[in-house]
Amino acid sequence: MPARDDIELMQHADGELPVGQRASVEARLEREPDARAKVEALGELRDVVRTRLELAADDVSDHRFDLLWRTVAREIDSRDAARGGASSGARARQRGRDSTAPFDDPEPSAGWWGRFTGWLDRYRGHVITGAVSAGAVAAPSLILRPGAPPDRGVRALGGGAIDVRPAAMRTAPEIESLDTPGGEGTVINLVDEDGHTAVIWVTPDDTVEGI
Amino acid sequence: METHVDDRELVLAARRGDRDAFRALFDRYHRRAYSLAFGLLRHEEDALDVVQDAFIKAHKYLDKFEGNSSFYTWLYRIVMNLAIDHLRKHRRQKPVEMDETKLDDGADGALLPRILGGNPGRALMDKEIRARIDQALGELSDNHRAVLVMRELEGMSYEEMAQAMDCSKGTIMSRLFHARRNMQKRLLDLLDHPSPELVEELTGQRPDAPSDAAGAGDGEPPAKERAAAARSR
Repeated sequence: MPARDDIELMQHADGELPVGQRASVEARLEREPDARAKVEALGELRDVVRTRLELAADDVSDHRFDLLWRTVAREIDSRDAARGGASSGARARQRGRDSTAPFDDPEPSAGWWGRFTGWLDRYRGHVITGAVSAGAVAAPSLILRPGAPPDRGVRALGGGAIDVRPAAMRTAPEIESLDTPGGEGTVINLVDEDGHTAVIWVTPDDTVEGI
Repeated sequence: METHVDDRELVLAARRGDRDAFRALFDRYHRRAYSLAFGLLRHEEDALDVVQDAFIKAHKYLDKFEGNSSFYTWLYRIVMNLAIDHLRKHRRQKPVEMDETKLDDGADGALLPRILGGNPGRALMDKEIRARIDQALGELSDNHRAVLVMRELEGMSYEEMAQAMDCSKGTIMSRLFHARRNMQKRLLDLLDHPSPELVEELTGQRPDAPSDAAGAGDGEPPAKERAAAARSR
């Protein structure tokens, strides 16, 4: 069977067949089971390709897409900052409206620390970012824990603001990696000036990333 | 963000600087955009880069979005253009397998009838089938894969594809025909050399089961027989 006829079948299946040719192709489909099978095969191929590509997106972790969003947000922030006042005003209004807005996160594009954390997010995200974040959470938790000495605690200032003074640590946080049956976890040992130690477990869900 | 808020409202809010609104658009479409980019590029990191750049670009030019089409239609054109640019810049182009201008190439060029049985969705749950489909897609030339993905995933018209790829409708039609035929041939090859697991997946029977029982459950012949029947047509 000439391929030209099959091209017409394909055009028909795609809804691209010129009006003048439709009647003859439909008549052919009526009388030829093979022609019908070929049109069905086109539908099947479409299902296969579409389903396969939709499944491909499921192979990428939510965390990876979240990192991607953060990069997008940083880029937008940088551009807004470069444009100046109007966009900054818009961001300020947005912050005032919703304290959970994504750009309430520290804006990494603002300086070297931002660039560093941005790089960390992008390339070293899964374990190290989790550990650093956990450390960041751990530091105030050491200070705010029950029974902490009042001179290192939390004081309400006159205007209602909270003044948190960080406790000095004698040593840098010790970070260990731990393999578990469910993935990889992280243990961080923090020793403050009083010799207290906090152990933080970063769950595998926080650390798994598809890169 | 409420799910009932439509894209147009989100776009308007994002134009006013509402980051949550743009985030909502991102949340709605990033996976679909990724599927498209991955289909064209066949490389996870490249596809993610394209999606990232597409959303940055979409935000940058949000004021130019006129609302004549849906936001996703606009976004996928951006994704498509970026992916095609990427392909051109990082040419991994394999030689086109055949003369794309020649359509009437005889019986060998005929489309092959359906081959994966009645349930391709079920077949796709099989890792081996997915891997072989990936392989088959990867073996297509960039041009053939591009038209296949644009048509099958996004349902683009021949005219839209011709504009996206800067070529004639006739070329698109030819590429699409050959791309589909090549994919079908590769899927037939898959069935010519199935693993025992694949035979079981497709037929519901273990390959060492008595032959008269194979496929008896749903009326489908075994994979090899289906492949042979398809070839003989």
